[in-house]
Amino acid sequence: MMQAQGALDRRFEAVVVDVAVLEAEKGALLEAALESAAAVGLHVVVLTDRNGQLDDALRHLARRGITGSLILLACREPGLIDRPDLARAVRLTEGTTVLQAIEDQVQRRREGRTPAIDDDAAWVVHLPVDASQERVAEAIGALADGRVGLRGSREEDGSRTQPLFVASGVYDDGDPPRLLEGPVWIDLAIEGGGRGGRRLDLRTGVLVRDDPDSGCSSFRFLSATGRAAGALRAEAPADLLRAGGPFGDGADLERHRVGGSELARSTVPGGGGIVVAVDDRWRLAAGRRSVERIAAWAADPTTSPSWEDAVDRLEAASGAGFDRLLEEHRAAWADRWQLAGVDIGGSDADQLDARFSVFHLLGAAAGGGEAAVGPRGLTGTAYGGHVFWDADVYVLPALAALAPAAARAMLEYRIRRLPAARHMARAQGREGARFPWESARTGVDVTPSVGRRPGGELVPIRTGPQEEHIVADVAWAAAEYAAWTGDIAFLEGTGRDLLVETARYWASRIRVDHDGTGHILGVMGPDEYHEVVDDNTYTNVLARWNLRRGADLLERTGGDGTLAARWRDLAACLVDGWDGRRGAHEQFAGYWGLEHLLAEDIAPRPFTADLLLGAERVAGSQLIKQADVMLLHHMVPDEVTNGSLAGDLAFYEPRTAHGSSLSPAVHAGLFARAGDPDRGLELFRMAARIDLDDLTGTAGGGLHLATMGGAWQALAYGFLGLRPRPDHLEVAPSLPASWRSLEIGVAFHGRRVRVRAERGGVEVRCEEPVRVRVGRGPVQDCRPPGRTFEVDDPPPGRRAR
Amino acid sequence: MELLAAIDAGASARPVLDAAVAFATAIGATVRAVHVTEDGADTPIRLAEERGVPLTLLHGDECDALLAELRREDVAACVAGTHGTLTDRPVGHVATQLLEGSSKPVLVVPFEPRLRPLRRVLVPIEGSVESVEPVPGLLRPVLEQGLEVVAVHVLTSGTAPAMLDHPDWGLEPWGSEFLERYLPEASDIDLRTGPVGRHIVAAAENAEADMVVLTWSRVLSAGRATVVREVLEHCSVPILLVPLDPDDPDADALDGVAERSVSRARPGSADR
Repeated sequence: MMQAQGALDRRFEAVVVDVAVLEAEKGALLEAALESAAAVGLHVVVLTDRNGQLDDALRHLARRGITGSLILLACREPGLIDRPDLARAVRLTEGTTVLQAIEDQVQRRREGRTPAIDDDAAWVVHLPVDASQERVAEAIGALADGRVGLRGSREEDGSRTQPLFVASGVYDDGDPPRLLEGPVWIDLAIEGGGRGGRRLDLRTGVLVRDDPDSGCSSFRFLSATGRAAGALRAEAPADLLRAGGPFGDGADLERHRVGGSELARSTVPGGGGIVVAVDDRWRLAAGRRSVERIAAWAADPTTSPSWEDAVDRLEAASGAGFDRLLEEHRAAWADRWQLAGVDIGGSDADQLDARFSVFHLLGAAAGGGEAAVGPRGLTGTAYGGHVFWDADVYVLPALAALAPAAARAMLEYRIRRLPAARHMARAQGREGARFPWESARTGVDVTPSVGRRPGGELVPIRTGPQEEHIVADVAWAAAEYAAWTGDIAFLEGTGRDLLVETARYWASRIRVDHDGTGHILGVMGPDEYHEVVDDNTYTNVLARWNLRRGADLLERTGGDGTLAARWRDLAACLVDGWDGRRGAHEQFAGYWGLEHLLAEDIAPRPFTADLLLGAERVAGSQLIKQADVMLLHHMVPDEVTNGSLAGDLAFYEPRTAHGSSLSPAVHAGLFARAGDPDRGLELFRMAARIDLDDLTGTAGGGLHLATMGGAWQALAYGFLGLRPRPDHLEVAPSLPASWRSLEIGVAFHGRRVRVRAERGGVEVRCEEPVRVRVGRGPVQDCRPPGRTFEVDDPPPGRRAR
Repeated sequence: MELLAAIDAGASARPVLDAAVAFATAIGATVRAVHVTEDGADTPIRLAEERGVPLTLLHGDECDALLAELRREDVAACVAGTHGTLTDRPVGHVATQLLEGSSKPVLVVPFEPRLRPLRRVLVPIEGSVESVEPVPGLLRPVLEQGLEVVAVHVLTSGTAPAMLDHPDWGLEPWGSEFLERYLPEASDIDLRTGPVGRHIVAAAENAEADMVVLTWSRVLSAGRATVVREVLEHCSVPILLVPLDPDDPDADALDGVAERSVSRARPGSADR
């Protein structure tokens, strides 16, 4: 029976829900209401039999990204909705009719009201409110679809803001080139809109704004379905929001109109560009003005995109409409999180921080074509969008497991720049491929040669000529991609030269002494406090690994067997820094003789030792900037001396200033593997909150994507002990005391696998059969839907290899 | 809006008057010279007449008289001179009392200053919104006429970036963000490490600044305001001291910077 007529609950007035789940008897009035709802894209699920139907409905909706307060529940008896999992659902109260609720929602949709998000604290990040943190807020709230990025600026722009719309791989013609700033399409003439209420909903990839003082609200997203389109809805009291164009007045843009659509374009003379087309629909009702804006774009790194490119995409997006775009977008994110979701039992804060990292990683690159991933991704202009080893070592492994097609695109970027890498090697008198330290559109080295220290002193920048380990980093990334995906065909085909040509480079780089030992002289390792050193262990061991993998691949693909043997011989003679007497690897030749300084004698970590003590003092000491030797234990644990993890960690951790954002996450994972996950958790938190707390003071210029990749790797490789092997997935969990459980998902050899670790047990869920090895147990089959494995929690310190 | 130029009968009077006229011209204020007379005021009278500036003769205790005049509602700031550079109290006892007693800005003109038309000022930033808050408002009239503001920040263990990923890129975005956060009116920032006062003076010379603007806590006694005293002692251009609210916790911020030493390694830190 219908509820008695009564006043609509005023709680609903500010809510636009997505789905109404109703328990009602069907009749003519309800049918009419359902028709009205369908006409405006409001989904209504009618339950006629509550047994199991509600749960089924909720599961179905969750797969569409519709959860919690996006759902309106109406039922004849309160008991149906008196459940913790429905705590955030919008509920009807006594006296409100089902029909009234539908009619209310239909009316709000007709008015183009700003939709809601499911304000679930487990998925929602609140942006900083303080004006001095505005640029940090913009970075935190950035949205990206893997090809373009839009910072989370307020629509009215204003002083101290850096609104930005950029496209991956599209650079300007500066020296050095920087990401081209495209047309920012979110401009609205809002006065007094307020600073409060901006939230990033990680679950559905939406940025919302809801300022209670001014009554302004907005809702925006970039479609996660590959449409190259996005949308914005905003509303405010009519005296605060004036109708106006989408691109603002000040920017230096080409402008155009096609019918009722406005367009703008940023281009590089003789080069690429970004074009955006926008449709606006304005409404004025009951003293409130609202706008529904749909945008579409096209970008090209080498040629100026045409107006038509954007117009065509806009027509498709506008034809679908805001509600359909949003529906598709939410469903796409729901699918992503089904694989990539991170669940941490025992710490909501760590869980949210981990999800924040994964969210931005997933926006950094997309499948298809190539992906140039800079240190800040598409969230800011710091580092100009140049590609460093950050992409290969820190970001790619995460995407290889979470979004393999995106990882493949990152490798495509490197593959297409092999000619430039070969040229660079030849120019230096070497063979093979020498990837540059910093790379942009063409693949030539864009590393600055001179920098300025505090005080203005000009100093040479040696990373470009000296930090050669990037050659092996690229090869390692290709191998790591193949390890996660099982895509051996790639490794033996298109990707072959990423391992073979880099091996060839090392073969030409090694000097063999008269005593038969091999050396790589005059390099810089990841620890940039020590600039020009001989036999940097990281470089040598990774080069050795590169030679061996290259030799294997060369032979497998019908290459020169004699050459392969030569590479193996070189690998075998290469010194690797192992000092059996000390039980640790010497970071480079002569490192043991440097001044004994420990990091915590200088300052609480993290700190920039070269700024505080001076570069010369630090270079003469054992203080190191970041994980160097330790990185080997993470990347190529089979290549370092068996059982050396504990000794190296005990030696190098106290000497590591963590003066690089790349460092803490590496140590976090290694501490977990070494049997001290609680110490690992401290460092994981440092990494996971690096931008949320603006630890570096530079988050305003863009988020630290490599740190996020490192944080995910700490979870996966460290706390869960995952390791992709040719025929099975290793799982060896080591959880901090404060975590009851850790669950992540990976794509392993094309199969979706979710691994959950709790005290004493591991649960593996899979959609297709997969082989796993849990702890020290044997390799076993795991068939759908999964199985549970017992595991002995190792005592601290016992795990180290 | 009126600037007071506190002139004595000595050699510092002429540069004080010149600096006052230049500063007043830049900010659209008028200048009135004041002199606390004890036994005649021929020199101050002549100087004021030469510069076309009205002169008020005051009587009584020199500092009390100047402070009373400075407290008048129409007075925006005071310009005063210093004696020399090689004493423990470089600003003289009257000027010291004037600085400590004034809740309004005081432009301190060094002995034998380098005076130029006001085009560029240097503003040291300690690293808090409160410590630079008075500055933009004070300089707004000249900012609107195209005055250039350059900032300097001397990195300390408390303010140095915790992480710098790539040496060639890292400090620039950090400096830009620092500037945006604390003094967006500035066109550039000079980042330094080392003794704070000495580097502020060096930065002023490097930038060819015509004035240095320093916020401070209004206490110049021994052991306090080390940076301010060092700048007053060694800077060759006028220094505008802008008092912070004495109850503001950041009032001692810049003063305390020099006292917050970078932690140094203990000699002979042991190996593990």
